[in-house]
Amino acid sequence: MFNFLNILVYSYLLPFIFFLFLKKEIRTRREIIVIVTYGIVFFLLLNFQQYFLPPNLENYFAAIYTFLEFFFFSLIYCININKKRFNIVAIVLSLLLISFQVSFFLNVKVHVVDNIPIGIETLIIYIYIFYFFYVRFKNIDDQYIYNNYCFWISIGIMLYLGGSFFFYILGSHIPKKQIENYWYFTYIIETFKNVLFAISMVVFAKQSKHIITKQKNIPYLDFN
Amino acid sequence: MYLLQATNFTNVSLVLFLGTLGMLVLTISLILFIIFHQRKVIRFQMRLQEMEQEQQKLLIQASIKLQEEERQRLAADLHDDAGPLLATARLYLNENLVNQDKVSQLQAIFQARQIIDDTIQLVRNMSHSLMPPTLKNFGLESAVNDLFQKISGSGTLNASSRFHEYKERLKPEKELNVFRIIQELINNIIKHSNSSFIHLTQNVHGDKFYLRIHHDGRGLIQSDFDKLTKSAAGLGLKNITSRMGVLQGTISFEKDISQTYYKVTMELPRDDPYEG
Repeated sequence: MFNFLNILVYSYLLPFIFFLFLKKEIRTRREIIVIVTYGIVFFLLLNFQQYFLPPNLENYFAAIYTFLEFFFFSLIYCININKKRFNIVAIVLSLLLISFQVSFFLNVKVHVVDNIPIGIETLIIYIYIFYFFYVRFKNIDDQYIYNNYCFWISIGIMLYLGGSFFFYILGSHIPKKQIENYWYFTYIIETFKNVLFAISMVVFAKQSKHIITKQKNIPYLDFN
Repeated sequence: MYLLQATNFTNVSLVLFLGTLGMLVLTISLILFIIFHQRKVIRFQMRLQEMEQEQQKLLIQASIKLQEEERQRLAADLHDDAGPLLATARLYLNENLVNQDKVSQLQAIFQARQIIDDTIQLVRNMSHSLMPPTLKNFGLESAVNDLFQKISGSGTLNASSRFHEYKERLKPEKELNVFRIIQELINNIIKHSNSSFIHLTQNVHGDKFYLRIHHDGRGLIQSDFDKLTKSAAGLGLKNITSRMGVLQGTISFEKDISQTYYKVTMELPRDDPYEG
């Protein structure tokens, strides 16, 4: 299990490593900065958890981890969907999730992980992903969806959240020792997500060659 | 939870296994569905594109037909108007003229001159209808202003135009195409819309050139325009689409948010200054 955790921690550096290799093609686009930052932040967080985190602060750490994950995933979809209304909804939901996390933390004794906030996070991110696919289907171009980098990110997130959903939900109802026997599976699936994030950067590099940004800014034409 | 309590955690691995497996199967099925559905949609799009190409062929045919009609009209004008005029002038200037008295000679010459003047005017009108001299010499802005002044002069319709930024003229062939589109649109508005005013405005943004016509009569929206260009009728609109294709621009028909005006917006690429 220790090995799986180590692999997971270092897999968070994959986007950064791919970024260094593909720097010329992808340059410093904000989409890429978010993914690379996500990788670095979580690499540092997991290292901190492994080596420096006092056991009595683990619950705080879990809450911060959940929120940061939600924040980065939301940011990825805000950038990709790029609609003002969606951004407002994402901000409101983030605020609601924080308030819920605080009240959950104050009122409920956290057992293994903060399972309810994680459940809510999973649902909200799934809704974002469905909406992203809906928007993609509405704006049909001749690009296959797997040529879009965010498709690979979405697969990664869906597999990660879907695959670990039951672990987090059941986490509070099963003795810690018992669930720990299977916990390595969440590490595998999370590592897989990071691999898909790295793949998404390769796709982005290819995609950025074909992107034609059509700026449709009609100037002043009287009666406007 | 009920399941967990009932089994007293003995089957926890089974619940975790089945639950996780279920979620993964669901996720993978969803991803596969998305991929296959999108492939289907793209195939459908490609078929639509083929149909559009067919439509393009039709437009080209319509454009050729229009050209042929224009040639026939020219031939008819030359044959029916210029031909008889010149023949009449020839009659006045026959060989017997030298045998006539001076007064009759002068009268015949005067008549012949009148007829030749009429013929010159006729040829000039025909030439102007082919290529307006204002457009050729002074550019699109002047030609449009000239056209709109003539329309306003009739007193039934108030036509105005405003060019915000037209310091650099478009290429002559481009200007002619734009002018022809404007003429066709204005003709349609006058014929069908029953509007009381027409306003044309021009501006540029980045590498795009914009023209918009507003009018307050009955107009077209995009779906009407698409339907008409696909139907057997609407030769003029087909011609507009075909000219737009040549200009590599777009044209859109819509109703103003205030629901008071109809507007037709043309978006064209500006000329590359480094292009010959």
